[in-house]
Amino acid sequence: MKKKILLVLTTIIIFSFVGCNSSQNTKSDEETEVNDTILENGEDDEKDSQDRIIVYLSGPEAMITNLEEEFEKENGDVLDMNIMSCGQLRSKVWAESQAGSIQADVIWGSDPLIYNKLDDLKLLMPLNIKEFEKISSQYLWAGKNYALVNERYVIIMYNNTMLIDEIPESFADLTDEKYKNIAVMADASQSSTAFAIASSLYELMGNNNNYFQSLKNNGIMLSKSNGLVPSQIMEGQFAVGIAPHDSIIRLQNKAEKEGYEVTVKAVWPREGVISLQRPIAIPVDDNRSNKQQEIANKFVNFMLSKKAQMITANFGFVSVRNDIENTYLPEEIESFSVDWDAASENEENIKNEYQQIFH
Amino acid sequence: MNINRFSTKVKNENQQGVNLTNSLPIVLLVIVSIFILYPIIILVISSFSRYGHFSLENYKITFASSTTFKAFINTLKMALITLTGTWIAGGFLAFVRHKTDFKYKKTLDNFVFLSFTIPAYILSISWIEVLTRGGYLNRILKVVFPTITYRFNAYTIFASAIILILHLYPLVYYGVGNALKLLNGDIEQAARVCGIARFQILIRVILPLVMPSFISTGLLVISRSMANFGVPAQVSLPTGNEVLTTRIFSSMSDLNLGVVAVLSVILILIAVAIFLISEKFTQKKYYNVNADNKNINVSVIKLGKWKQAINIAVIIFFVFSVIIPFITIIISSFFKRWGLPFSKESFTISNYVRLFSQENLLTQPLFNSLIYGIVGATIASLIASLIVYLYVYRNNKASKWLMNIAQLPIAVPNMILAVAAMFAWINEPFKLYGTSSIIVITYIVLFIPICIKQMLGSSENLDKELDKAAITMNINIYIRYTKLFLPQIKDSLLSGFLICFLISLKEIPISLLLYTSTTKTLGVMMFTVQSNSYGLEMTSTISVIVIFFSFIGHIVLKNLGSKGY
Repeated sequence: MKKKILLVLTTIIIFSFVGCNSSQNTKSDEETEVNDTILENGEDDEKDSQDRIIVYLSGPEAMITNLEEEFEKENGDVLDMNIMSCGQLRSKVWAESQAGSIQADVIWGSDPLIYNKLDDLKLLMPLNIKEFEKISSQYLWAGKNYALVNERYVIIMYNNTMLIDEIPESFADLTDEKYKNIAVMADASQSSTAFAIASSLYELMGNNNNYFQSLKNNGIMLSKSNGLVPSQIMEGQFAVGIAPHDSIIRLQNKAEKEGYEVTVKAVWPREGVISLQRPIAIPVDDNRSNKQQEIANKFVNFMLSKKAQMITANFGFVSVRNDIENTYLPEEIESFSVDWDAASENEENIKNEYQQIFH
Repeated sequence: MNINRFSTKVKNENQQGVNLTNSLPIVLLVIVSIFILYPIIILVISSFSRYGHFSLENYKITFASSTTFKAFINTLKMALITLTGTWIAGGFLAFVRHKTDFKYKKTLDNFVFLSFTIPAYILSISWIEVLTRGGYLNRILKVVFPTITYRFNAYTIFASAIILILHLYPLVYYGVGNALKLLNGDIEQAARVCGIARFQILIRVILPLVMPSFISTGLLVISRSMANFGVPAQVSLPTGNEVLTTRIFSSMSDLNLGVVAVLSVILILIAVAIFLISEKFTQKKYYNVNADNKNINVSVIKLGKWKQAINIAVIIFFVFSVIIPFITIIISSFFKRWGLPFSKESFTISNYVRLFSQENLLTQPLFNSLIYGIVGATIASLIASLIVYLYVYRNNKASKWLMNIAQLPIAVPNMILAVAAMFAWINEPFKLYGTSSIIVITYIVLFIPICIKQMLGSSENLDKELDKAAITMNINIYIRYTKLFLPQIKDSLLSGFLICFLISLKEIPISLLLYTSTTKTLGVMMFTVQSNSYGLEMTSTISVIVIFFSFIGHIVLKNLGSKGY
C-alpha cells in the first residue's frame, strides 16, 4: 500500500513538472503581473549586478577577438561572445525562440532569412542607429528590425596548381565536362548561407533547377560549410568551387604571416557576383535589465562604427559605410543582391527540389 | 536449511515497509523518469505539435519526402555493415585474446584501447588525409607513377561504415571479452571429455554462452552507428548520401524542428523494435555459469600452425586501424597548412604553441571535457550498476520497467538528446540551459545505457542464488551490492566507466548544441576549428591532445588496479 502511494505521488510530481513547462507561456504573464511589484527591484538588482550581455555571432575568431577587445576598451568586460557557424547560429536561435526564450542579447551573422523569420514573429527589437547618415543607402532596409553590418560576394575559386589553362570564367562553366568530379560547393541542407547562395543561383540561372541538375550530373561535391570550400581547394581535394570571397582574403593574410603560398585564386564570374549581407539584431527579452539593454544598443552601434567596420574590412568583409571604400569588387563586375523576400517565400520549394537533386 | 524459512525471509524483505530495498527501485525510477523519460516525452509531443497546436503535418511532411526514405536506407546500410564488421573484428580479437595462447595479449589490449581513443570524427579526418585526391596516398602514387589519375572515391556510405567499424569494434571486444573471461571452464572440460571436437565446442558451447554479449554489444553498435553524425557528415554527405542524423541536422538548419522530432521518434521506434527482438531472442536461452573464479577460463586453444597467420592478421588490422591514422594525424598536426608540399618550410610547431598559448583555445575546453566526463561517467556507472543489480537479482515488474526506461536513450542520436534536453531544461523551475549542468545531465542520459550494456552481458551469467543466500544471513542490501555484486562486475563496471569517459572527450553533437562560451568542450573545438579559418592541421593538433589525455587516463586506471584492460 505504501509503495503504491509513493509511486502515485512520484508520478504526480513528474507530471506536475511537465504541466508546469507546457503551461509556462500562459502562466508567465499572470505570474509577472502578480510578482512584478514584489520582485521587480530584486530582479533588477540581480540583473544589474551581472552587467554583461550574451552575443551569438558567426565569423572568423581573430576578427571577433579584435572587435571584442576594441569594444571592451571603452566599456569594460561586458561581452560573452558565443562564436559559431552561420548554420549553428540559425539553428540555435530558432530552437531557442521555439522553446520560448532566445538567450542572446545580440545576434550577429548568418543571413537575413532567419532575421526576417524572427521579425515576422515580432521577436526583434527596433534599433536606434546613431550614425544613420554614414550607412550607404542600399544597406538601409526600411521596415526591418535589424541592421546590415557587412557584405560578402559569392565567387568562383580554383586551385592554380591543379588548373593551369582551363580556368572557369562563369558559374555556367562549372557544368562543363572539364570539371567533372573536381568541383565543390557548400551544401544548402547544412548551411544557411549555402541555401542563400543556392536561392540566388536558382534565380540567376533562369529560375529553374537545370543548373543544379547539370552540376549534380557533373559530379559536384558538397561541403559542410562555405568556409570549408577554399580550405578543401587549397588542400587539393578539389580543383574548383563556389563560395564567398572573404575566406580567400583571410587565407592570404594567414599565409603571409606564416610564410607559405596560397594556391587558391578568385574568379569574378561573368554573370556577376551574388552579394550576401550579414545582419545584426537585438532579440526581445522582457527580463533584460536596463544596463544590459544599453550595452546591447552600444554594441550594435559599435559594429556600425568606422573602427569596427575597418576591422571587418581587413578580414575580407565589405563595409556598409559610405566613408569606407569597397576595395574588393572590381568595377566592371556586377553584383546581384539576393531577393530575401522571394527566397523566404520559395524557401520550402527550393529546398525540396535541391534535396531531390543532390540527396 | 529450512526451505520455508529461507523463502519467507526473502519474501519478507520484499514486503517490509518503506526501507532501502523497497525504496531503491522507486528512487531510481524517479531519477530515470525525470532525466530520461521527461525529455523524450517532450520530444514526442513536439513531433505532434505545429505552431503550438496538435497536428500530424510534421509526419506528413517527413514521410512525403523521398530524401527521408533514402536517408533511412543509407542509415540501415551503414549500421548493418558496421555491425557485421565489428562482430567479426571484435569477436575475433576477443577470442584470440581470451581463448588462445596468443603471445601478445597485453599488446593487443593496448592497441584495442588506442583504437577507441581515436575519435570517430578524427578517423574520418585521417581517412580524408590518406585517401582523397589531396591525400598522402595520391601524393605517394604521384611520385611513383607521375601520370596516374587518382580515381578512388573516398566519400561513400561504405567509407562511413569502415570508419565506424574501426571505431566501434572495441565495444564488442570488451563486452564479449568480459563474458569469455567469466565462462566456467567446467562446461568446456565436460564437452572435451565427451569427445567433442574443439571447433564444435566453439560453435555449440562457447558461442551460445557469449551470444548475449554479442547481441547486447551489437545493439550498442547499431545504435551508435545510427546515431553518429560526424563521420557521415565528413565522408558520405559530400556525395549527397544522407543518413538520418545528417538529415536531422539539415532539418535543424532548415529550422524545421517538427521534422527533427519526427525523425528522432522514428529512430527511437527502430531502437525499441531492435531491443524487443533481442530481448525475446536472449530470453529463450538461459545459461547457468558458475561465478566461482576457480574454474574460469582455464582452457586455451593452442594456435599451433595458425600462429603466424593470426599474428600477421592482427598486425595488419592494427596497422590500418591504429598506426596509419595515428601517424597521419601526428604528421598533419605539424603542417603550417594541410595540403602544403612535403618540405622543411611546410612544417612548424606553431599549431601546438597557438593551442597552449591562446586563451580559450584549449585549456578551458579540455578542463570542461575532463570534468563533465568524469562526473557524468561516475554517476552513470553508479546508476547503471544499481539498475543492473535490481534487474538481475529482483527481476520483478519494477526492475524491468526501470531497465526499459534506462535503456531508452540507446538509439537516440546524441544531437536529439541535446534537442530534447534543450526543450526540457530551458524553462523554470529547472532552467539548466546555458549551464554546464545540462551537458552533464545529457551525458549521464547518454552513458547509462552504455554502462548497462557493458555490465549486463557479464551479469546475466552470475549466480542469483548468491544474493538469496546473503539475504538469509541478514546481510543488508548495501553490503550485498558493494561486497558481493560490485566485485563480480568490477571489470565491466570499469570498462563502462572508461568507455563513457572516452566518449565525453571526443563527443561532438551534444556539446555542440548545448555549449556556451564558458562550457565549450574538446568536441566543440574539434568540430568548429575546422570550420573557422583553420584547416585539417589544427583539427589534427587537437586530436593529438585528445589521444594523449585519453592515454593518460588509461594509465591512471591501470595503476588504480583495474583489470579491465
